[in-house]
Parts: sequence; structure tokens; C-alpha cells
Amino acid sequence: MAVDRPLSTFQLQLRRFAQNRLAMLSVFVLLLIVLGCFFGPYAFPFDGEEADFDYIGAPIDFSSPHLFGTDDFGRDLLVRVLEGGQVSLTIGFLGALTAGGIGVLYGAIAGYVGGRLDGLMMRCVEILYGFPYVILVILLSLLFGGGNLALFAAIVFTLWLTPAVIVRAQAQSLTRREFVEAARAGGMTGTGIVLTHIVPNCLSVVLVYGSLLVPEVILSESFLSFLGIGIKEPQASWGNLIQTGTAAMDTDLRLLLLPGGLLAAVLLCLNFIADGLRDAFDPNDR
Amino acid sequence: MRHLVQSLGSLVLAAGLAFAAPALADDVLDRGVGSEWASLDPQVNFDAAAGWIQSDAYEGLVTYNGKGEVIPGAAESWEVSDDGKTYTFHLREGLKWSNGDPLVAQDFVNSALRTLNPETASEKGYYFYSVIQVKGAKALADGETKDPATFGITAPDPLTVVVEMLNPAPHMLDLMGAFHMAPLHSPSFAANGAAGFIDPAKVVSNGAYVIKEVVPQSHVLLERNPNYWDAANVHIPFVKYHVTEDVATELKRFRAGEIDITYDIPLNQIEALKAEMPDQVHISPSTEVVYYDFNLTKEPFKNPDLRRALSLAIDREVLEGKIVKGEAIPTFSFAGGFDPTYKGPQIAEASLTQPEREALAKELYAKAGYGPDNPLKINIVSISSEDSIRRAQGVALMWKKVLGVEAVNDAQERKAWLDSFYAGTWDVFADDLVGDFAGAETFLAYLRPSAEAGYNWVKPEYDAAMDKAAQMPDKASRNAALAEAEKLLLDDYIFAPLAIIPTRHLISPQVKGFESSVAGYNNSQFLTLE
Repeated sequence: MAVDRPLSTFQLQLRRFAQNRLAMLSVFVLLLIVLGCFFGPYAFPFDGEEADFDYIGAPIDFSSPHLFGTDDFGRDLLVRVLEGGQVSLTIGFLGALTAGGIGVLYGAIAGYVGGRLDGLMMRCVEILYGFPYVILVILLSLLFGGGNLALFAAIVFTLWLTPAVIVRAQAQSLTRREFVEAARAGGMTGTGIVLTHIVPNCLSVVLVYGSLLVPEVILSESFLSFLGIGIKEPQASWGNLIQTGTAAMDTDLRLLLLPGGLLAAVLLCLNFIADGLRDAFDPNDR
Repeated sequence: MRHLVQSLGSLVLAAGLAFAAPALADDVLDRGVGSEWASLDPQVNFDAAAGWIQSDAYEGLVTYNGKGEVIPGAAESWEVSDDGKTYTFHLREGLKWSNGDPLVAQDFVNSALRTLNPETASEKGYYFYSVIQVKGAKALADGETKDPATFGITAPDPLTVVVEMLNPAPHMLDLMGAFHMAPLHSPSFAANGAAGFIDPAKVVSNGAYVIKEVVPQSHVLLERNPNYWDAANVHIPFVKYHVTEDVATELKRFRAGEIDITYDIPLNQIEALKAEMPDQVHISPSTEVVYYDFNLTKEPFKNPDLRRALSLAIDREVLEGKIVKGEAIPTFSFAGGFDPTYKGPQIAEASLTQPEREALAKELYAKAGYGPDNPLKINIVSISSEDSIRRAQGVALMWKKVLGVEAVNDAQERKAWLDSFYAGTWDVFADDLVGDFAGAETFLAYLRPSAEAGYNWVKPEYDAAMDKAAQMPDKASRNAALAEAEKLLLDDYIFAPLAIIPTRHLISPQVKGFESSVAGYNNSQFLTLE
């Protein structure tokens, strides 16, 4: 009889996650959408910024090259939605990663060092919390001359604050733990302790929060593009596609349903995954 | 008058009813103005939508009915000299300003003087030295003199205004209305300056209505002026001009019974609305032409080949018929299509088929040094209204498809759009011009380099051709001379003419008296509510 190898905590957590059917289904669907967005457009002979003036506002027709029809300018709707997905998903994941990274480091340093520096750093966070979001985005797009970079900067700028606060609380309690005391007694530098002890031990919290951060970033991007200060035509994003769709809502629902449906599906998947991760990492919290 | 205009939106609300009640056909006529008015200063405002407010609040020497006909306004009669150069207007007796002060002929003279004064920075001076050539107007506008005695508009006595022109102008009465020459109440202007025009407590006007409330980004409320000479025949006590920037929202308000006359109709709903409420959909041609300017101060556009290529690459039929779908009329000319007696030129390639034009465009584009490896990258500055955005995006897509140009649309609010024009922060400017009357001269005079410097077009020949046309006393020879001038204009391809815009309104059956004319005037005083 073979003896079971003892599993690490992380492996146990992954196993718990794998048993969560809804979360696994969400991972599968999300993967499908991501792959579709990034590789789907190659299956078509045209791109999403190419207009076909002979097929303006064509309806759904699976026998034509334009499966889901075209928009009001004769551009293929499906390809545009997929290309818009590339933009929205890239900004979503990159934005969450950057915001999370900044937030974790900032919070870990504040929590570990403590004292006056901690107070100063946290007051800064609170001041930044007070900034009106939309005004900040407008100012940043003026500063960067508009475009994707300004949008990305604005989103990251506002979203790194919450992970910083969460990690700081975690780091504060970790700092008083014996193994950190031991590391300090052993002569480890502050930077070393933060990077090898504090950050990895915050990871489960960060992972759960991060998976909620991704949909938040996607939603921000879509919201700003919907308002017209995000991604600009002719480049597509789910936000500006939905905006175009709402304008034609009364006459042609197709333009709204395709990008809107995909956005909703991605957001739901990410939320289920976040839920699953939380259950897996912190069974007491159920 | 620059700009997208012509529809009035209006809504009928129960005045003073704070609680939600279904719209009652009572005493408030609410009219939509699209984007917010740029200015309510009568000598400065150059915006046709704000011009409706101005035409209700002020009255010129003459005024216009819904059919666009000239009818007596502050002047009850006028005479023309035999040579057609001098007009003498006789004011009605006992005219008063809204504060009770007597209205005198000098108030009209002061208005024209203020418009021309360089310190006012008004764009409307060209009406007096270019559209019609009033004696001495040019020198005043250029700041060469400040002496009102040199000016051709004079008030020999309190009831007489005399306009002396250098050349005969068969269209001069079209420029004596409230939009072009509203009288100026000098005491209140001296006391308050330009700020007084938007302050309901200080504004003094002479029209059928007075300004009672100005709420930025919301509305202007007008109240009937008891001191107006014809107040007895003004039927609607209050008029409210609403900012209705979003046409879809405006339609919802119209459907809810809040709006009687909309500013516009959502383009994708025109067909459905025509079927649903044919009597309430009013679409008719206007004096508005849309044309895309090329920035002549920027390097690529100094090359006429490139400008020509861009103009030819646009498929105007598809653009208006299938993309914008606003019932606009595609055009290859600038000043033609308004006055049936004017036989003006079109751009030279108008006779070709679209594929031929596109082939020529590609050739010219390559000749100008651009290609797939070196695409032209430009921005198109347009107004942020639905049809402007659709047109700009459509043009951008056509340029991309035919030439490979990478164009982005920068849609701006009306005020910012106008500022951008003068700041020159554009490559291509989605321009439009609302003619001041239904004739070619109003369009061509505006484009004179001496009248509008914003185009940065240097062409003394054009000015000379326009000067020649201005000498012609009768309409036929005048139109022939104007056509020669337009040929010079179109041959330089400083812009791509695109379409003649119609006015589109939804008009509630409660509103009576609304008429359609190319000129687009519909002063509230001639309307009634049932």
C-alpha cells in the first residue's frame, strides 16, 4: 500500500478549488473567451476596422462571411467584438497585475516598517482615495494626450489603493509572528524579510482580491469608454461597442447583446473564480 | 452663421407645477437647442441655435415669418434709392425697450458699431463689410478708425435708420433681422458690459420676449415682453429653450409629452417615426452645408494633390444614404443647391463615377508621397452630435479603405469645436456653415480670406472675383459672377464639400403655426399652443 505523500497547503487549496464545479466551469468559459478574442480574428479575412460598404448594417446571417452581421459602418460585428475583447481583457489583466503589484509592495512595506512611515503612507492612500475618479481620468488623459496609456495609468492609479490597505493589515500581523522575529534576529535585511516572508504569506489574500480586481478594471475600462473618455473609435473595446449598441438599442439589439453578453459572461466567470478561490484558501470564511 | 442648426425643440410643461403631471398644453413652449448656446451676446453670438433665442428676445429692423419672408419688424416701412445702394428705414412710433426706455434709431447704429469694433471680437462684422458692403465698415473693423461719422449706417433722427452701401445688394434685407443687427441698449451695456446679456436681472431687450432665467447646461426661460409693440399678438406667455444634447433622450422627452418641437430626430429612427407619426415628422432642406476643411498651415495639406485625393476618396452617396442616414443631400459644390436661380460649378471630378474618382484619388495620394509604408495620420475634429460623429467616422473609414489613411475622429462639444477651429489644432475640420439667406452669396462671402482668416487661405483672385460680383446690380449677372468665384474656390480643394443638411423636427400637434423654409426662422411669437 502506497503511502500518500503529504500535500502542501497550496496543493490542498488547489484541490479544494478543483472540486468547486462552478469555479472550474468559469475557468473553462473564461479561457474559451480569452482564446477566442486573441485567436478568433485570425479566422476572418478582414479586420475589425475594415469597412465593407456593400454590407452596412447587415443582419445575423451564418451563411455570409459576416456571421453576426455588420455595424452601421459595414464593419464585421463579431470581429470587432473579439478585437474589443483583446483590448478590454488586456487592460483588465495587466491593470489588475500592475495595481496589485504596486498595492502589495506598498502595503507590505507600510505594514512591516510601521510607526511614523506607516502613518504617512496610509494617510497618502486616504488622500488619494478622496480624489474624484472621473476627473482624475480626464486630467490624466489631458496630461498624456489621451489614448490607451492615459486610460491605463488612470485605472491603475485608482485601483492599487485597496490592495495596499488589505496587505498592510495582513503584514502588520505577520510582522509580530515568531518566524519574522527569527529572521530579523538572524540578521536578514528589511527588504529580504518583506520579499521572502511578508509578501508570500499575503499571497492567498492577494490572489482572492486580485481575481476580484480584474473584473473591476474591465468594468472601469468599459465604463470610461462608454463615457467617451476611454478607448476611442475606430479602435474597439467592449465599453465603446456597448455604447454604440445602446444608441441603436431601439432598432437593433444585436449591436448591444453581443458585446454586452460577452462582458457579462467574463465578469460572472471572474466573480465565480474569485468566490472559488476564497472558499479554497479560507474554508473558515464560508 | 456657422453651425448645425435649425431645429427647435420645445416642450410644454405646466409652469409652476412642481409635481409630476402630464404635460399640459398651457402657457410654456419649450424648445430644444441641441448643445448649449455658445453666447447670448447679440452682437457676438454666431451660433444659429442661440440665434433662435436671440430672435425671440430681440427684434431687428425687419423680421421673418415661418415661410422665410421678410416682414416689417421695428421698422414699419423702408425705401430703396434708385441705385440700390441706400436704404432708409422708418421705425414705428413709441417703440420701447423691455425696461420701458424709448427705443431710438441710434440703438441700431450702436449695435452695428459694436459688432464691427475689434474689441468686441465678434465674428459677425463680415456681414457689414463683406456680405453687404456698408460704407466705412471695413475701416472700422480693421481698427483704422473709431469715428462713427465715417460709418454708412446712421440715424438722422430717432425714427430713421439710413444704410448706405458701396455696392447694390439685392439681399440686404436678409441681414437686417435680429440675428445680424439686434439693437443695443447702450446705457445697460455701458453699466454691465457683455456680462449683462446673460444676467436676467440686467438684460434689456426689445423683442417679443425677455430673458427671465439662464441656467447653464439646462435652459433659458423667456417671458412675454409687455413693452413689445405687438405684445397683444404674442400668444405664448413663456418659452423655454432646453439644452438637448442627446437626440435619443430628446425623443424620449418628446414621447413623454415634455417636448413639442425637438431639435433633431435620431437618425436611426427616422423611418420608424415616419411610419408611426407622419404628421409630426418635419424634414426639409436648410441653408446648411457640411464641408471638411483641410488645415492649410500644416505641411501635408499644403499639397493640393493630397487635398484633392482626400476629397475624391469620399463616396458621398454611400456616406449620406447608408451611413449617416439623415436625409442629407450629397453635394459636390459649396454654394449651389439653395437658390434655384444660381447655376454654380461643382468640383471638376463630379462627372466621374465613384470608382473612377477613387482610382484618381489613389494616384494623387501616391503622387503626394504617401503609401502603405508611410500612411497619412490625421485627426478629424467634429461636433459631438450623432450625425456629425457618424459622418466623421464614415469619412475616416472611407479614407482608410481607399487610401490607407489613418484618421481618428475627435468629437467635441460645440463650444470647444468652435475654439479648436481658431486654435488650428486640427488636421481636418468637420465644418458646416448655415447660410444667412437662401442664396449663394452668403456662403461665398464667408469664405473670402478677408472675411474669415481661420481657413488660412491666400487667394487675392477670389477676393477680386467676389468684389466684381458685388458690383452687379441685378440677380442674374450677380449669380453668373458668383459662379466664377465659386469655381476658383472649388479648384483649390481647400475643403471637401459633402452634403446639404436638412432640418429635422418632431413637432407636437399642439403647436400650430410652425412652417418650414430654407431660411429656418420660426420665431415663437408667431406660434400658438393648443
